[in-house]
Amino acid sequence: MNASSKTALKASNISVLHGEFKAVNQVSLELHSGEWVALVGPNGAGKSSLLKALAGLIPADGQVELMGKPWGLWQRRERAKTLAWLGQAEAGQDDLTVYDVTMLGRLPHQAWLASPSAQDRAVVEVALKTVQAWDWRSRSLGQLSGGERQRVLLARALAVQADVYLMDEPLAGVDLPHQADWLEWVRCLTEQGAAVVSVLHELNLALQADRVWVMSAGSLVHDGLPNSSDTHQALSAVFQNRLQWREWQDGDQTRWVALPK
Amino acid sequence: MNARKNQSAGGLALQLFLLLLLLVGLGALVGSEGFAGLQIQADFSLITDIRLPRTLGACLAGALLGLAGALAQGLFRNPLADPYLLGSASGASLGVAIGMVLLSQLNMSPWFMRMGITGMAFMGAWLAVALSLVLSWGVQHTLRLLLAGVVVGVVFGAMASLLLIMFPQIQGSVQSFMLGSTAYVGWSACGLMLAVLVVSWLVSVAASPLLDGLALGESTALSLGLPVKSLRWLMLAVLALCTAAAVAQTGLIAFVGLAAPHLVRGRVKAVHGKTLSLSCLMGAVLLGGADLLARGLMAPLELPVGVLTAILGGGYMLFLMRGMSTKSVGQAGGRS
Repeated sequence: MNASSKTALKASNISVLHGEFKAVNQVSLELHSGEWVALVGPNGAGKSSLLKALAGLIPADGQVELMGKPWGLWQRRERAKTLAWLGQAEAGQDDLTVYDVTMLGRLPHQAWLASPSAQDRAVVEVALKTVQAWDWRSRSLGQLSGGERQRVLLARALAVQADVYLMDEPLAGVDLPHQADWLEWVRCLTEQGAAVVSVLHELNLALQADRVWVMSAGSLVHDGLPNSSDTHQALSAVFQNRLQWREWQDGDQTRWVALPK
Repeated sequence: MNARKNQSAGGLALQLFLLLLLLVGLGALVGSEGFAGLQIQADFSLITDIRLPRTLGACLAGALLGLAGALAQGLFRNPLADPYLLGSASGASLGVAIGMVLLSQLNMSPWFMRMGITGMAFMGAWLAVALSLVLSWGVQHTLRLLLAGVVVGVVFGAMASLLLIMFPQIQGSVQSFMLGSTAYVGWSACGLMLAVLVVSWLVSVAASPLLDGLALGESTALSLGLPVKSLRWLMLAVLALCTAAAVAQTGLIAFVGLAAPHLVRGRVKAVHGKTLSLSCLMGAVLLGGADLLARGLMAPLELPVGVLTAILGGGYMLFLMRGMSTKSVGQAGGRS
């Protein structure tokens, strides 16, 4: 992340109501181009609701600006090209092929009902090769394991070629080698100037991010660097003080891991 | 799961189309003597006035039901969804029952009676869908919409049964409507169904990216910039129109709408633009074939075609299910 980077996503006073229950309470935040932020917190803290509100997928109070432009001023398709969403795997029909699913990421770029252009095909091929799914692109989604499926959904999001990626538990069910790959892809995305927010349950992956947002009971209680002791304290607090911290050396960098206590 | 490789969409389309041509040809030749009397008869008007419209009508109704079923399963993301799921079947039955009661009290020509009953079935089916939509406060919440459809279906069904008890003289005709029959389809009905089919097919293929998006969840569909709400309304309208048009002409044909999309997806993995069209063809072949068998198997006795579609479609679906592993049957949530 460099200091001169511009604001990709800015939210002020976001609140989300689920019936009577306030899932997200007056959250304000700012995300810069070229940075990866991990959104963490206990179950039911409102992480998914906040992410959905930021992506405009559920009704919410407050203002969101995408690339400096207020949400309401965006045209739907332009917005879909700029902000990509990767949700938690939802149950559904599994009959689409891996290739078709990934091509859906190109939908915002295509004229309605137009067949995919050479560029669309090229982008899809790169995305599928990135997640190492190109070889089984003609298999259907229903024939995949949970982790393979998640990688295909990631390829679908990558195919959008967006400026902002919002990912809700992108690593659910993904095995360790592919988690490591995912870290590389995210760094690659941010190096190209994209901004990424990911909800992560695996704290030690979250600690690899550029920044960590900690949520608890609908509020954003901390916004800090992964290596700062403030962040560690905030994390310990929201996880009932059931964390113990260990230091390790990553080259010349000092990093931390959180272990259950 | 599949040891068998997935078929190409074009290949299946060609197969189904050839099968359809064969069915229509046979349908024009098979008369009341059944397959035994299979020959080109001198009486040309018998073929053009009765057998041909009937055969084409069966295929058209099947195509409408196949399309409606594929739309329903895509919209509700539920492999058990069928064209009748928003109460349109019970609505049509109630419409027919009311029509029969009204018309049996008045002295009408048979032709007008037939048209009147068709209209009542059509209106009943529409009314039921509209009521389901009102009760579920719109299309946003698909589970609420499904439940509203169940409620409307049960209530309208009960009202139709009540009418049957109060007016026993209509029992026979309403019962035969509920079993489904292609016997009375004429050229005008064919024209009507063809018009509805062409419009519905064009609209649904044009709106089909919505179903592809929805297959990955509503959030993903929204995030791709799809106008989810308006497209969903449009597709529900098409679903109701197809179902009502088919039901009004041929009664409650069982299973074609449920089975046709499954039979297609069992063979072809493709985007909805293709599977919707293939489901049309598959539905046409299913009902066209069932109609042929209904006339020919036990001639001169004619079997109710709805019974045959259930047996044929059900049998083939059981065959397909054998090839499925638990993994492909289960949904994403239950996967390890």
